[in-house]
Amino acid sequence: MKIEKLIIYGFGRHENRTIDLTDQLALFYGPNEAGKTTMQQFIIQILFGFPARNGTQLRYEPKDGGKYGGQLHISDPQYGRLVIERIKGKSAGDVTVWFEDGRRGAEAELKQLLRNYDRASFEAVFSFSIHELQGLEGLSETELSRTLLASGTTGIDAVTRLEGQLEKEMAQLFKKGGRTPAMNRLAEELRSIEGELKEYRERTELYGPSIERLREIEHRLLAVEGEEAEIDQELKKLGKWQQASPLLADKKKLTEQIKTLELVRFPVDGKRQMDRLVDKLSETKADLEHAANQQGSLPAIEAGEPASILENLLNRESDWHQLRIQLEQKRQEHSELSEDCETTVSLLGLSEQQALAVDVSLSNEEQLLGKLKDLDVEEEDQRFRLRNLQEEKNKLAQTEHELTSFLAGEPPGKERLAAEQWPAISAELAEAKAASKFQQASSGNGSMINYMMIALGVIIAAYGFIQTSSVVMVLGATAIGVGVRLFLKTPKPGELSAEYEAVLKKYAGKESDYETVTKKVAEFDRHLDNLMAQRDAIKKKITTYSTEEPGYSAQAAYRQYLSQIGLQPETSRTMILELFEKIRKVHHVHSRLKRIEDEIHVLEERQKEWLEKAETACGKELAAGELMPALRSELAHRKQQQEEWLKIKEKQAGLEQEISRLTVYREQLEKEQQVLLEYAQAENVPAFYGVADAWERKQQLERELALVDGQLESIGDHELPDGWQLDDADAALERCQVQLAKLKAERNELLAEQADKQQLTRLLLSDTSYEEKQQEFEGKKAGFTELAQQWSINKAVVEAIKQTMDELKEKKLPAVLNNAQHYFNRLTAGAYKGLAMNMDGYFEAERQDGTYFRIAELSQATKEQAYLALRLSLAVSMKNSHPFPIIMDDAFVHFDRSRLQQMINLVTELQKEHQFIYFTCHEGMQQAWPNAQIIKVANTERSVHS
Amino acid sequence: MESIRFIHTADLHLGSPFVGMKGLRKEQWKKLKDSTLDAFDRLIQHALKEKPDFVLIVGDIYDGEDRSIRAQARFQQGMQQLAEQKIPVIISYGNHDHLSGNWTRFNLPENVHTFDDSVSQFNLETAGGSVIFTGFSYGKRHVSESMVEHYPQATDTDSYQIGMLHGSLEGDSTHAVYAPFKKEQLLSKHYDYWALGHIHKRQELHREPSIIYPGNIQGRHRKESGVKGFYDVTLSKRDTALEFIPTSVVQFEQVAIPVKGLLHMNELIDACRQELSLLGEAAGTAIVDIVFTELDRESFQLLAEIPESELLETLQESMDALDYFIWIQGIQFQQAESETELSPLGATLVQAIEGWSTEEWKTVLKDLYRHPKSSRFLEPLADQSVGDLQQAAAQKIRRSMQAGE
Repeated sequence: MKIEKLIIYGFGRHENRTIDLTDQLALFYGPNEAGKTTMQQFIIQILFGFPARNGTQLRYEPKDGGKYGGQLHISDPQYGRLVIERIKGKSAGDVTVWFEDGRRGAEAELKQLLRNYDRASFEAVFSFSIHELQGLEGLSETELSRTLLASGTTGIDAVTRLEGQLEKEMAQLFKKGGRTPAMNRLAEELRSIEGELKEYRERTELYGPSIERLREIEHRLLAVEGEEAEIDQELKKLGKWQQASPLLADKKKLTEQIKTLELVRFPVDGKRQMDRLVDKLSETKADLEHAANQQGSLPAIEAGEPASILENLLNRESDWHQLRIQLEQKRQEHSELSEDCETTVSLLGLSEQQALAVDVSLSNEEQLLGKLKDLDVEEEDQRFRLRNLQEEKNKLAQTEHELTSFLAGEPPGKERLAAEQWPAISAELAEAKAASKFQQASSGNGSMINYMMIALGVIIAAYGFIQTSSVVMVLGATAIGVGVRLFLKTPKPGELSAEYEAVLKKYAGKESDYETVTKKVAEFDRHLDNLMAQRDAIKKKITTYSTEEPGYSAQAAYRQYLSQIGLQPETSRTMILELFEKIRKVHHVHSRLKRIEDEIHVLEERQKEWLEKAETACGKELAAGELMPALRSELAHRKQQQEEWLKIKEKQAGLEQEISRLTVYREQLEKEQQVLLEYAQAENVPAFYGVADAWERKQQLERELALVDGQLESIGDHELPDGWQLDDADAALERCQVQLAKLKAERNELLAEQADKQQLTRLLLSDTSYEEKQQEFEGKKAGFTELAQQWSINKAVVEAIKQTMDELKEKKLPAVLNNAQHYFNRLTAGAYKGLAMNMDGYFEAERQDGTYFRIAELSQATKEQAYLALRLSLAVSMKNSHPFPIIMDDAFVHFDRSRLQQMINLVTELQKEHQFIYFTCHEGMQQAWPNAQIIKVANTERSVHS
Repeated sequence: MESIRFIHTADLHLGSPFVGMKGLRKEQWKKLKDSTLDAFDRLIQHALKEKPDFVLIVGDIYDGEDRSIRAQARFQQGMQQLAEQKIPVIISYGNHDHLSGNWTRFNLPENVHTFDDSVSQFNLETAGGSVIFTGFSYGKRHVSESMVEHYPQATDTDSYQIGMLHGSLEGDSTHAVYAPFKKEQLLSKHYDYWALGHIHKRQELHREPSIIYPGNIQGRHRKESGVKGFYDVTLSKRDTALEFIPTSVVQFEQVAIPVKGLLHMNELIDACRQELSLLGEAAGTAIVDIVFTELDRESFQLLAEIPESELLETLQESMDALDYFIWIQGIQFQQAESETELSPLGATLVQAIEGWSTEEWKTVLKDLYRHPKSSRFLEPLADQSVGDLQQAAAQKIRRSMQAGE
């Protein structure tokens, strides 16, 4: 297979390029960035498809969006000349293959053409760069073998993949030591089901024994039933006896008790009757007592007096009232008259007796008139004298008054003193005036006061004298005394020349004033003396008139006469006649009073008589005024009393009747009681009750006895073995019960077992779970078998693959290795003679001297040569099956000239059979390669031969 | 001499499970579980209706210690029914229900005669004449010696001579070899009828006198396919009339379905449904293995695209809608040899596998077959199974190499 032409529509930086590959060796030259790798990728990608869009490899889609893809023109020994075109389409691009005969193909045909080779395998063998020459040392035998084998036969990859897949499947199906793979799991399940089946079978085996046991149980159950019935019978008998025995004991006791009670008879219902009687008796007694008490407590009221007198009195009530009125009238009259009389008497100023004693006869009246005339004359005379006296007295009063007012105008004391002193002073003054012309002294003021004092004392003494008042006189005298003393003490002015000067100074120029004052005082004193004399004259006259004694003879006569007739002598003569008359009237009234008093007396007597009568009738004291109401109330009272008395009387009668009735009843009751007592042969009531109780008990006991008899009867046959005690029966009973319980327990147990066994057998008869389990087991087993088969098939296939691989390895690998060894020898110019696998499955190089080196131990270039040797050997070995061109990317850069030459020689040798495409950026390579077609990648012009 | 009529049956395997079936849902299982018992019921009903002179049961009434009490009760019930109709039953026990098994035995009614572990004879008077039965029951599980040697030769020609033998013909290895016999040995006894048991496949080894395997009454796995039942035999001194009475309630079948030209799954399902529907009408409930035949490129791709288990499940589910319960238990492919399609490498692989002997197979599979926990649930590797494996492996390679790149 040879690539003859590349037509690039658009791939990476290349566009619309057509490159003819004419020679067996094409050398693509270009500096960095020229697009060598792009060119190499173009070839690979057209053959094997564009990488996936999101893959790691570059797609080289033109950036400017031009046409993507291109054509490869190929001549193939098997398929002839053909064109492969890959353009943009699905992810890997759309492929068209044109064959020589005009056929058209697509991916499938391309695949055939590529001998089912994929890109990875292609790159592994036919396309390598300097980088891929690294890492040979890491290549293990297996991998190498794979690589070698992969190059040998189509479908090896599929086989390899199949193997891997099958191995994986097998691992999922079964692992020797595993637990999770399906078969291991199933095997476990099968085992457990087997276990279960065994259990089922064991259970099944229980069927026979169970049936047997069921039969036994039935037998035993019947037997148990029989035993139970027997014991039951025994128990019943015992039970009866046990029931009867206390009853029998009771019966015995009861009979004995009844025997002790010897009573023969007792009244029917006796106790109740006695109760009634006793109740009634006590009731009756109580009633009696109550009645007696009531009787006793009734008030003892007298029958009361008859009220006839009172009624009589009341009937004459009008009489009484008349009497009362009369009396009242008389009294009225009497009091009026008395009053009259008293008035008169009081008018008279006499006591009544005196008045009555006066003789008022006419003769006396005559005499009296005469006397009165005399008296009048005398009185006239008397009056004249009195009038004169009065006049004189008036005169005196006037005088006195004048004197007083005059005294009020008395000159002041200072003036008087000045006046008194003045003569002395004037002398002094003169002296002073004389003694010192410029010295003037005069003073008289102090003496002036002294004078005035004396004067005042005189006046006062005088006044006291006039008034005959010693006190005033004393006062006056004192004043005089004082004045005198003062006068004496007063120092004399002008003793000294200084004094003169003072006097002069004091009195000079005032001589006239002092002169006036002195005159005035003298005047006043003279007038006063006049008035005093006048007053004394009047006083003398008054005294004269007062001492004159008038004569009263008429008056005495008159008075005498009055006393004579029993009148007051002092009685005035104007009144006397009137008095006379009044006395006469007194006399008259007095007699009339006397008469009325008599009448009153009579009436009062009568009233008293009434009162006495009434009082005796009432039995108490009565007021005259309240007599009638009192009587009436008394009468009412009396009547009420009467009624009450009647009522009590009645009540008492009732009570007496009741008492007598009750007494009779009691006797009756006592009699009945006695009858009962006698019947019961009891002495008294308590004894009777004792008997009653005993009787009742007896009755009770008899009833109980009857009951016991009845029960015994109902129990029926209760005969017992002789000599048995109650305890014996109990023990027997217990024994029986224990036995019964035991039987019951046994039966229950048997029944339970029976039920259990019956259920088991029934279950076993109808149970399909065993079969189901079996089926499950079979199902699982089938599954297991199937898986086992799958596993076996897989295993067989894997084994077959392995065997085939081994075979291939044994046959093919040595051939390739031989060849590789040969190339290596040539490339290293005989420095190394061999390439071999060591025991660990790694390559080693054998040097000429027979020393072995691990690939890693070789120099870089030698390493690469070893690798190249292997690659080329592989490619050569695959010449027939996969006749692909060998594409190298600067694989020889590390080689020295001689090694490079060796390499070129080898390639030149090989290029007869194989197409080589070499990419380089080293210009030298162009020269090194003598007959290569050189294509300048950077140039757009067509390639030229070097 | 009149003829006698009797029923010859064997290998009832009452209450035994179906083998080699998986994925059955519980309710589906319920439809199948009583099939052996139901088949037995059919037999009893037939007997009760036809009232034969007697019934022969030549061994393997139960499946050994796997017997369920329910199955035994059912059998006992059946015997009771026959007893009520006074139909004698002659039983010789086989290897599956040998006498030394310590399982519960139901008391069988009076009408049942069972042989003990040594060959003996039993005489029965019937309306058609007296019948002498010769037979034995398995005293233990394994009776590998030829018991037929102990059978006496027939001397009395007035009676019918019937031999009952539970065992295998020498050289037949489909079942475990028990009490082996040769046809000549049987013929040399001059019996009128040989009632055999043990082999589940219905077979007539010889005519006049008839040497008959009635087969079992209900198939239990894919190898016991076809209609199952018993023989209603009318025997006279002149000839023997065999009437086969089917009893199987569930039938195991292999159904071939041509898939040529089928491109889509639903076409495939329709094809299956159609075929199985026909089968259902004919056989009722059935458990089938489907064999896809006439595979071409399209149908091969269709089938290769989905895993077998998934395909099986899909088909099983699709058959739910059928009138009869039909369970697909497996799928096989019958492929025309298309070596051209196989790459040389693939061919090499297939060749390698085909070249393996059974011993080599054993070595290859030793990991599994030596595994203590797993191997005891596996059938031992035999030529048969090795052949199957070989085929399956080759098919797998073919499928992989083609379906893949």
